[in-house]
Amino acid sequence: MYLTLIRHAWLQFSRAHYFGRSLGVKAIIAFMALIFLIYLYALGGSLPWLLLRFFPQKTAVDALFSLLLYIYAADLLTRYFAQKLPRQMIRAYLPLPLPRPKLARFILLRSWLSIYNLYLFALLLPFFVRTLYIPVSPQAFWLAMLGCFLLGGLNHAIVIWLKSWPGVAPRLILGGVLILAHVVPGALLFPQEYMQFSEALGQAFVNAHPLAFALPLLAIAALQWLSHKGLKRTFYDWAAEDARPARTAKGGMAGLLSRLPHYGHLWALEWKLITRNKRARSNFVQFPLMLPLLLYLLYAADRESVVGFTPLIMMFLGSYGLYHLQFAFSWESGFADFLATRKISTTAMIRARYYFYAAMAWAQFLLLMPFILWLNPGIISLAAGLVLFVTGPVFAMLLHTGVANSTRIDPNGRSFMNTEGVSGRLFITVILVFLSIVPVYVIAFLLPLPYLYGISLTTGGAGMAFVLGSRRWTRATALRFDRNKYHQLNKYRQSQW
Amino acid sequence: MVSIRITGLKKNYGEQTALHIDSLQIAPGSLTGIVGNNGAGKTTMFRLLLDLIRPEQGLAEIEGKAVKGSDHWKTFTGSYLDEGFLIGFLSPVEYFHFAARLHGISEKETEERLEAYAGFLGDEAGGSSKTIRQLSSGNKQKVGIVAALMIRPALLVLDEPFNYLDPSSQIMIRQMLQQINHNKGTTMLVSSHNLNYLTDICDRIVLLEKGKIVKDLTPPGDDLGEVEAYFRLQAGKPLP
Repeated sequence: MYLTLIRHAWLQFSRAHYFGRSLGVKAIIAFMALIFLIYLYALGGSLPWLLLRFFPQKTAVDALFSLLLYIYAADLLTRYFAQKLPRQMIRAYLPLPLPRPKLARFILLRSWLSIYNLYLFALLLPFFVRTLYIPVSPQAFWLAMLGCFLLGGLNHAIVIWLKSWPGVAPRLILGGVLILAHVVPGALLFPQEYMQFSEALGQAFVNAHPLAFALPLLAIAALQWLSHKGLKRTFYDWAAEDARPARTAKGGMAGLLSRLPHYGHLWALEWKLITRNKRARSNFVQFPLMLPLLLYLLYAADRESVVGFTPLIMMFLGSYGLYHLQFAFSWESGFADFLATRKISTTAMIRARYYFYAAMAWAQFLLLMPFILWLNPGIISLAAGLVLFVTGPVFAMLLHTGVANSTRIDPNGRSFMNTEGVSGRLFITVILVFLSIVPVYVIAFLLPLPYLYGISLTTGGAGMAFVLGSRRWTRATALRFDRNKYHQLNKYRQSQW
Repeated sequence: MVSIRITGLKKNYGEQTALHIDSLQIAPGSLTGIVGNNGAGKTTMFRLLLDLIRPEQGLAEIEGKAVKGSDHWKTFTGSYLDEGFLIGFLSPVEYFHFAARLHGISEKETEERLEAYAGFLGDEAGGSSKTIRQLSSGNKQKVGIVAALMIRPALLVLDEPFNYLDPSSQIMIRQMLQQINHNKGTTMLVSSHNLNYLTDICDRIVLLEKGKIVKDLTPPGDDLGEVEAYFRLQAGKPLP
């Protein structure tokens, strides 16, 4: 039966409407993924040399071991936001004579087939070959690899446990606690002791210390058992998804927004869209968890590191709009027909959306400003420049390309950077967003100003130009939306057919 | 033949009570129609009976065993609630074979059984290479109903089976249900908005309103006109 379920998973993927579309873009994605793996592999090969430069008193292996927990803490954070639980239309299987425990076991087993369980090995494999397999022994190499696999497996088990838990609130709380449990001792309170423990753990792996393997293994087994229990309960939630009424409390934020003049009713609608759509709401409530990381990046950024940090800083400073604007039309699902058959100004709709998410990013920045001033006052002008840049050209780009995503095709199936449902256009847009910062950095480099002030000026200037010119480009985006409307609605009909 | 017993079953969504049935017994081999306006709790009752949602309190039992957290009833129960319960990326034939296999029916036997439903399924739902997702709502409905019937269940649960079907198919499904119920003694629970269809074929009608049973009629002893009178009363005055 497991084989049949695996075949179904493949059929679900290969018969999806997006499979076979945009093959050119998908080839580029595959090529870039390959480049990324080669990059990691090359980095792994040169890592011994790099580590010896930064930790001259240690061997390369010990230096890496002292960073092992930091690497896996970052891995946990990545998985927490990006790794998904493979659900495979479970509702259709529940009334059939397939025992629930078996279905839960299948989902857990399938979840191990994930790129997140492999990517770090592209880095670690060449590193351990150079530092353990050749100079020490093949046994030491395999033990280190096994140890690292267990650490990755532990992260996998933690994330799957959190995501198989019924309800969102416990997931948020537990996820936050687990991440803080890494960050607080590791980065803030006891970094020395944290690194020493990390190094000792790596050495225990190489020395085949039974406890070093047994403890993560036991933890994985316990977490998988808990996930199995949680999943059996979560099946009820999945089966009842369409039965549960939406949260339609009157008043609150939507009520407040609807009382505002001019765009108020559209802002209220936007608020309802992001708080009543399951995926949008889930991402929206999880977003604040990223803010400590933003503060840390702003705190740690200096002249040397700021260029490398900027894409991440940009992502977080854009607030929820940076994630959502690409989907701004897809979320509408059923009411695209409503919009198409009524006299509603597309320009007003797009402007309302733009102002809504720009205001959200600025409100977030104003709330964080006291913390930024306290942690690293020198960075404030750059942070302001980047907020302007994100709410200017970046949001314009997302809205403009988002028009082409207004197909209403499976709004819940399309997910951010998910290889199962990734849209090629979306992927390219994400790359463009990150690359858009490059020209302003080059100009800043040429300016006769200190570099940080230079990039503050160029990002702020470019941002301001788009913010002030927003009436013009939102109108152009609206025209593009109207021109594409029939084409997009037709695409949706075809996907149904 | 299979019996059903519901005792003190309650389901809430937020502060709203979707279903609250103190007691309901379905006799083995009966064909029971569940009627009620939108939001009366018909689908919620079926979901609870099929262990798809958890009740706040109470018990639903099939053959004397609680359905909650159990799988025993799945081997002899055929059900179709809505298209969300179909595996959309399979073709109808693949889906029939998958469901049949889970019930221990051989491929050859499945083919033979499907022959009997070929007329009802028609060309598109019966033999095309389209996936279920690509079928019209009516054809999806046919696939769901046939998948539930072809396993020859001892208990059949169908939610609004006449929806989306063309008039000929509605007549066919009505005849099939009656025939199977009489010949095989299958216990059936069927909900519908179409009163005429249910009153014609059912030997018991249960009327739900806001999650509660308000009438439980057994024709010919009870006058089914009561049900129609109830809906007329609910309709109130015509709109201007």
